[in-house]
Amino acid sequence: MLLTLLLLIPLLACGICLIAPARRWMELVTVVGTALVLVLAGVAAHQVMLAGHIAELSDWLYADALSILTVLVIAFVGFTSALYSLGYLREDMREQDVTRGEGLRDLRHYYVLFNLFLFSMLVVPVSNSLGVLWIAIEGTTLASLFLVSFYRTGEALEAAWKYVIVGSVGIALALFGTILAYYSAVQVLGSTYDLNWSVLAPVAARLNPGVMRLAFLFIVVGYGTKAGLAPMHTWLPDAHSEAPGPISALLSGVLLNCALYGILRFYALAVPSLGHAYPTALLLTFGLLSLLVAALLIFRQRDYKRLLAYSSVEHMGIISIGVAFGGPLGLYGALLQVVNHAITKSLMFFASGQVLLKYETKNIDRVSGVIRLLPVTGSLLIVGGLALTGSPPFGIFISEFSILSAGFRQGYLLPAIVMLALIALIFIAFLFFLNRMVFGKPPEGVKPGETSYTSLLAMGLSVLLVVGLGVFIPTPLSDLLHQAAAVLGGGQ
Amino acid sequence: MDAFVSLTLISATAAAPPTLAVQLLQALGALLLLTTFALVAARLLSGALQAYALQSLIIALVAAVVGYYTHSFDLYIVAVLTVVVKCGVIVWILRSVTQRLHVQREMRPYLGIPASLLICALLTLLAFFTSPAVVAPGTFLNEPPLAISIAMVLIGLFILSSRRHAIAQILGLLTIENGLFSGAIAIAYGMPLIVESGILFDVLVAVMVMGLLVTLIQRELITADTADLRRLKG
Repeated sequence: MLLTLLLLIPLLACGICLIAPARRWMELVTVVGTALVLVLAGVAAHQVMLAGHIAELSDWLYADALSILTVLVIAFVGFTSALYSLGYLREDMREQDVTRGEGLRDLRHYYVLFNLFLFSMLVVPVSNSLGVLWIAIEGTTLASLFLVSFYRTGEALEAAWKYVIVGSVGIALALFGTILAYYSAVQVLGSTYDLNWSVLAPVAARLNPGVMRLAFLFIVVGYGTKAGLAPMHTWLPDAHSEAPGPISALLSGVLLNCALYGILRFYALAVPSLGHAYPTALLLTFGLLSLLVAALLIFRQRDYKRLLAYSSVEHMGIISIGVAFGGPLGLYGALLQVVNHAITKSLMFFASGQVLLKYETKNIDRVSGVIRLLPVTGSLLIVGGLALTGSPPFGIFISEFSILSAGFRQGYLLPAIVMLALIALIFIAFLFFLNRMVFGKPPEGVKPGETSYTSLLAMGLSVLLVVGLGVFIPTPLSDLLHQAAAVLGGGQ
Repeated sequence: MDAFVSLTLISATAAAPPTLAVQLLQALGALLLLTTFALVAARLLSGALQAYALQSLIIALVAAVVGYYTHSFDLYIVAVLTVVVKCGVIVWILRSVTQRLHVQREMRPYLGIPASLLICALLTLLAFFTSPAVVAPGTFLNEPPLAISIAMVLIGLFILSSRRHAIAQILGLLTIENGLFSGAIAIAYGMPLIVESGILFDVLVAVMVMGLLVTLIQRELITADTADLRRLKG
């Protein structure tokens, strides 16, 4: 029942928003819905820890530690984004009449799609069938498309077009990978079998390696497009910078993880069939390339939301490298990085959304003195920026440290050193830009003061975890991470 | 399962006197390639749409033929769904979007049509030469169908990158998808029915959503020419 309920809630919320008469209703339904999803995700995590996995709806839904970890991340960022949406949209649409006509329609459009987007992302980790996984990942693109183009400016429409075309090509390649993976097991399981993870995982070692090799390549390139791995990342900065703040947080914090989850599932099938060398080489190449592209392009950015978008490319690269290094420590670090990145990046997009509402520009050069005008947001930008670039004592420092030590321990000396150097480079660029925005003289004629309490609450919850996970990792979470690493073949 | 094994044997021994099944599939494969070229050669969107409808119809026939020889009822359903969704609804949606875009009905190629056809011929050759290498030796794939679907994927990518009109780009995407769909039937005799119908549903929704987006772009920027979409860089 648990997983079914988890999926039904956002769907129901979506339906209610479709007919809700006023703004207050949509806000209430969305926040309560996402809060319930978060609670249910916690309960489901508890059950998975006890039983190893849960399966429902005659095995169509299946969750093990890896799925539930992803669900938790989606649920948490979903909840904070819902909270943040309230204040953001109220401020953003303050000059529009939202009780009727076009204003109400836009608002409805936002909340309906928000819940639908959340639903499609939640389907990804809990679907047992690799085919349904594919359908859900394609679904996330379609559900979020009109959220990206929400402002309907020329730039937003262009970003949406690029997003859907590049994303669809990627997803088509992933379909080919899925078909090949299906075919790779035909000799083991017969010509008609359910393309289920729970069926394939036990026989993974006997899958046809020649076909699996090709399948994994297509999966990494295909889902990697959606996950923002370079050089397929071209849609990402546009979509992230043109979308409304809370949607950027969802895109970067969880959508990328959903696509990455797809790669991880296939990784767990590819390693027993092919051995470590080939998947490692593939993930290492794309990971390092992503880091390199991010490091080179981050210096050229004039738009702070694009800056954050490139930082997502960077972090997806780091996670891939972590998985490639492998072993219990590398996988543990990579999964911890998934959690930390989602929370930290959503915090940063929330804060940058506040800056955008106040300054009404995305240009870094025209923003200064944030700390004077928005004292809380300014401090959070500093904390989040330090955390995001991997400074101690925040969460990302711990996970990047684990990944690096895994790299050194497993003998990947050169990749680990290159990774370290690139991270240092990105650190410099990031703090240079942030310093410019946060300090200095604020522009005249802008009234100081934060805009919304719910936005502050959303950012407060995120920063609590950003700092908290840097200081210590609670036992249930670390158990879950270890179990999830074991699913990927990194058992201790 | 028995029928499956027998078809496996048929295709594995295709060098021996070709049976009716293999001949039929080869003929359909050739037609499939022909419609794909027709799509590339189309000057007007309406012509390209017709080529796409024909292409989808042939894929439905392929599904039906493979379904007949493998006694797979699921593939019949897939065939019917393909005709309804692709030849019917998708073509109808794209046609109505095209009619709404009053002025722009050409494909707007970056490259002339003769040059495009030449490139596509080369891509097809490439597909035919690489597909045996792609298939592990000793497996029971029959090579020509796989080569044709790989050729369709490559040509689809080419259409996507060489045509400026937004609708033409959607058709490129749909050609890629058709190539993969036929590939799934050719190499794995189709995926589980629920997955196949889910994919069809996804494609349908994708076309609806993209059609809506094109309409918005047209209304906002008074163009459906993607070369005019170039403000976002780096």
